[in-house]
Amino acid sequence: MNIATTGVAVLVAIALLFAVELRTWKEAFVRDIGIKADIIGNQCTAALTFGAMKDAEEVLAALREDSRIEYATLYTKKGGTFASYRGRQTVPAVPAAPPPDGHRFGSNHLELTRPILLHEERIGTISIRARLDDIRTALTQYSVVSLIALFLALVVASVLLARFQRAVTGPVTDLAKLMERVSRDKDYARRAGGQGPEELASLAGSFNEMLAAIQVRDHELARSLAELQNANRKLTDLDRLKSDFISTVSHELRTPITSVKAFVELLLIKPNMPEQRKRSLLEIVNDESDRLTRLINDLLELSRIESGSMRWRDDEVALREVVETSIAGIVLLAQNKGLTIERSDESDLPALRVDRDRLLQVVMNLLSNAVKFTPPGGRISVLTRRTGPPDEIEVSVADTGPGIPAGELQRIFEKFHRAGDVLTRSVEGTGLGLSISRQIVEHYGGRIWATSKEGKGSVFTFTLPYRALGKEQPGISP
Amino acid sequence: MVMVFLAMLLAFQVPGENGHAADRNASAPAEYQLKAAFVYNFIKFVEWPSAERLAGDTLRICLLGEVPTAASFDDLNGQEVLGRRLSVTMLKLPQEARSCQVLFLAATQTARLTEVLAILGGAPVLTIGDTEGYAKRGVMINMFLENKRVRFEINAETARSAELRISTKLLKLASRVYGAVPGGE
Repeated sequence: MNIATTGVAVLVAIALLFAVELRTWKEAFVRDIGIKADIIGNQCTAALTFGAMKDAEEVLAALREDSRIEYATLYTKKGGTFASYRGRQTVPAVPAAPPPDGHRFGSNHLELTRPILLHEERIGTISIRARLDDIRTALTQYSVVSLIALFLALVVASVLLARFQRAVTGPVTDLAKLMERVSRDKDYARRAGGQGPEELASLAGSFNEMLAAIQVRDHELARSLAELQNANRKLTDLDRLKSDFISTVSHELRTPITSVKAFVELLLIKPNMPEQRKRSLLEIVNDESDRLTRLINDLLELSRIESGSMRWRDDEVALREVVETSIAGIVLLAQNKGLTIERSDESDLPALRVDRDRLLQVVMNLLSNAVKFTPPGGRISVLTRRTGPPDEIEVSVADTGPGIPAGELQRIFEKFHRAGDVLTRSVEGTGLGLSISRQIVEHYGGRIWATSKEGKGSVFTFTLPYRALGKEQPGISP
Repeated sequence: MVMVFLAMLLAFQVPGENGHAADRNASAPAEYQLKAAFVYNFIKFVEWPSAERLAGDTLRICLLGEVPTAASFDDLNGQEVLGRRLSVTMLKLPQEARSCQVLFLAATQTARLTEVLAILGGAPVLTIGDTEGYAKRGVMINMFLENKRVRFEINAETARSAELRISTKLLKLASRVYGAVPGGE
């Protein structure tokens, strides 16, 4: 396309040059022949004056040297032919009368007529006719050379253009292909090569920067999406947990109320049942009421801890005393079930600055759970010791119960999760004990966890950092 | 002037019935008309020294001796050439010739030609004759008849010593040139 345009432009230029050259050549030719006519005419003035035709013809014969001249004729003032020169080649007839002054171009000749002056007086006329072969030859050569030059120039231009296109179009095409691939595959890790002219390299650089930015954003987006999905899952779980919690709480509340109502109705329907029977029914009602109270207390307590409105009465507490009190509170129940309780205390345990009742609540909860889940004849071991770093006091309660499945180990610390729903029915409890214990332990910066081997028993352990809670740094707790 | 050219054109060839040896008297009128025209034309191919050119706007043609039908020359009287008016005068004494630009020496002067030329003594006067041997003896342009045509010979040496420049074109037409300088005038 460009080559063709250039070619046409050059062709037009050549044609123009050609026209100008032709004109210049013609002018030069007219000038040349005109000078010859003037010289010959001047040389013939005397011959014309004295009628010396022979002399005039001799002068005219000098034109033989110029092969272009077809004929030259001298006319007298009257217009008669005075003398002539005829070229060697076949020439047209010499006109009998002189043509008008000036010059005329024929198809292949120039006819030029000039006056002959002697002392500014016209004494005759000279007319010369010359062939244009030279001009034709020169113009033909000119055309051929021009066309060859044009052809060569176009060839060179094509080669250069092709090279230029490779240098520019190549990188652009590569870039375009890369863009297409990136948008198709959404693969923002690709990068453009930086070759080619400076501008294109810079373009490729910008493109790479853009890709990098997109890639980073892509990553961020993916991470945000994952976080959102995670959060959403947690929310869904929480929501489900809440629903479960409400239904569980309702259920837990209904059970004792139902039995209380049933027994009270029974007492109302049969007022005259034996006194002993009445008493046992009232005791059940009493127990169920207690259970209901406990449940409600636990719920209130958990709610207080979670909402941060719990009042902690921190004081110096000796762990040994707490553990002893706990065991003393449960030992009767254990003995009834045929369980043995072992204690192993490390001496010189540092005092802790905690709410004694809460700590007692945690230990009691672990112990009562152990008693609850351990079948008769089993053994419960309570171990207190110092661990670290960091400096902590560790309390663990091991039992020989049925154990807890690995999947349940984490969830048992959630509200109303117990070691298997199957067991829930046969075992008493609010299902909030471990949850409350965890809240208390975590309030003091400790941890609580369980390990278990199914069929061999479970170990519940909690730790409390004594350095932070000890004498040395009083008042750290609110 | 028109008349002169008419004469020239009509009579490049001298009309004469008597063949080769044309009797001067018989053909005198036509012959001398032609010779007068030649004299007129010679003037066009001669250059006088600059001082002479400034002498005035009259160019004097003087005739010395008996010129047959001198009236032929009268036709030149009053004509203009090179911007100067021609004036034809018949002279009695050769001493008068020094004030002329052109001096036609008739055949009757053969005897005292040397004397006349001595009197001129290199003055810028174009001497013209029509007698055999005149050119050789010092007359600058000498006309003669050949095959009924007027021809002329030139003595370039005397012209040069008189500081007259005769055009090479005229020299080329001359049948014979005395004292020609090769390669120049």
